[in-house]
Amino acid sequence: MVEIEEIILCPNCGTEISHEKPVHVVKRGLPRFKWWVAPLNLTLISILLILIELGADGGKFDEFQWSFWAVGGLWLVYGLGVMLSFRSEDAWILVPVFFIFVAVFLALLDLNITSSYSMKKQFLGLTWSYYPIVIIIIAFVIMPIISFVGRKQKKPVELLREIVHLEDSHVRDQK
Amino acid sequence: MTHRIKYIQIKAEHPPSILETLKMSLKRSWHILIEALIILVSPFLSIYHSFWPRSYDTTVDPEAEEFFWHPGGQPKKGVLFIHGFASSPQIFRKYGEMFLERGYIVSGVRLAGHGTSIAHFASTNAVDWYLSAREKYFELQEQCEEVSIIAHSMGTLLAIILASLYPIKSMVLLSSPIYVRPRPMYRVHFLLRPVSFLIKYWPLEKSQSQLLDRLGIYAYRKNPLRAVAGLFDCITVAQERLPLVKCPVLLMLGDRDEHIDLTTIDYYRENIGSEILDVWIAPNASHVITETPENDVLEKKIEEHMMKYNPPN
Repeated sequence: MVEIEEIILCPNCGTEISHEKPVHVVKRGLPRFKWWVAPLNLTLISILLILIELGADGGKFDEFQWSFWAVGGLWLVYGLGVMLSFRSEDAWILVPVFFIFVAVFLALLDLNITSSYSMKKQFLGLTWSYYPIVIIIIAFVIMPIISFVGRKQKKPVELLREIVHLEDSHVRDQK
Repeated sequence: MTHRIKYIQIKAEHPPSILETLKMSLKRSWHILIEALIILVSPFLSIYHSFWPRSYDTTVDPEAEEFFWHPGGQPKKGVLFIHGFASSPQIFRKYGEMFLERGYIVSGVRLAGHGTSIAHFASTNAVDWYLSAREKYFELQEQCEEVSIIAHSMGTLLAIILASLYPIKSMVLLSSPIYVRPRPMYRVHFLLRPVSFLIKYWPLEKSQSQLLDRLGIYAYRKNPLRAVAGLFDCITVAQERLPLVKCPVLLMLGDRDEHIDLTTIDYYRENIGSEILDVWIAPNASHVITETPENDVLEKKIEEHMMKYNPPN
């Protein structure tokens, strides 16, 4: 293997600066996507899920049993993602609202399964879902809202007032 | 930097061993594997990316660019122009040219979030706007001995804060919103921030948009409610600082101003610390007082005020 090396000398003193060529490393990072890529991929996944359900019955399709829920859940998560991407500062309210939807989603799922298999009904006609629903409501709905409302943060007007007072005292000291 | 190449060193190496060849092959194939992995996970990555906040556009519109013009020579006086809420330095360009001809250094500040995008504007607040104005004031002050301010709408509030702190020579305040008209949204301004979580933007009335279109003024056609809350923050602090303003002030309001109540004049008379307060009510003028039908009178009055209290050189 033959390697050609350039020796760079200082234009003033003539000493050798470095044997290494200047290397400009451009970090690639992860690729970014146009806005339509995610919904398109989700549409394909949704179609795939529906086709799997259609195919599972050996071509004798009667009704949608499970793919509807999976597709709905996927789009629900995506919807929250889109909302958060545009309004990230409102995450404190968007996330609890999303989890309310998740709770409703679980409840509907439970009611649907209960009606299909005639399981023993408990609270509000729910069988299994009211445990996760209670956890979701407490941990992901009530707690984030309490934390947001109760945070210690200066209001912009207080911050402006503080800056102005600080400047005022600084100007007076200089005088 | 230009560098001289003294000589070229040529190195001859032995061919790589089997182990080295394997290592190199693995290194190369590792990159290929990473590429393949990225291609495989790309669809999921695209969904994942949609969770991350998109950054807003902060590109400044050419129409809304700020200006800093020097007349040449050694001018001693400067004029700082501060535009209003959702507006841009564009409204002061003709006044900038006018004072440049008179021998002033002129600077038109573009407040943070203005002249870019409505989403960027919504992310800014009173502190950002004040710091923008303050920065330009210091830039101008470095170049000249005495600075005057000409401001419009919300800019007048920032001018009041600056004048209460620093030795401003004189001020011209156009359409100063100390008391805003009790529009439904303004009456309950303390609710603006909570409401902004649900309603982010509030469009201008059609007549106002049409007026801005007709006059060719660069301004946002929607108001982010969070930014409107910032405007009320400015009003609060400006009201507190008004008694500390000691420089001569010329206050100008339009009698058909759709935003400002004319009781603002009484407030100024009662609370301002300055001994000199001239007031002029422009007939048939809207909030965009710089485009009043009696523009000549307005220009003349501003010029007279400046010549009287802060003449060039």
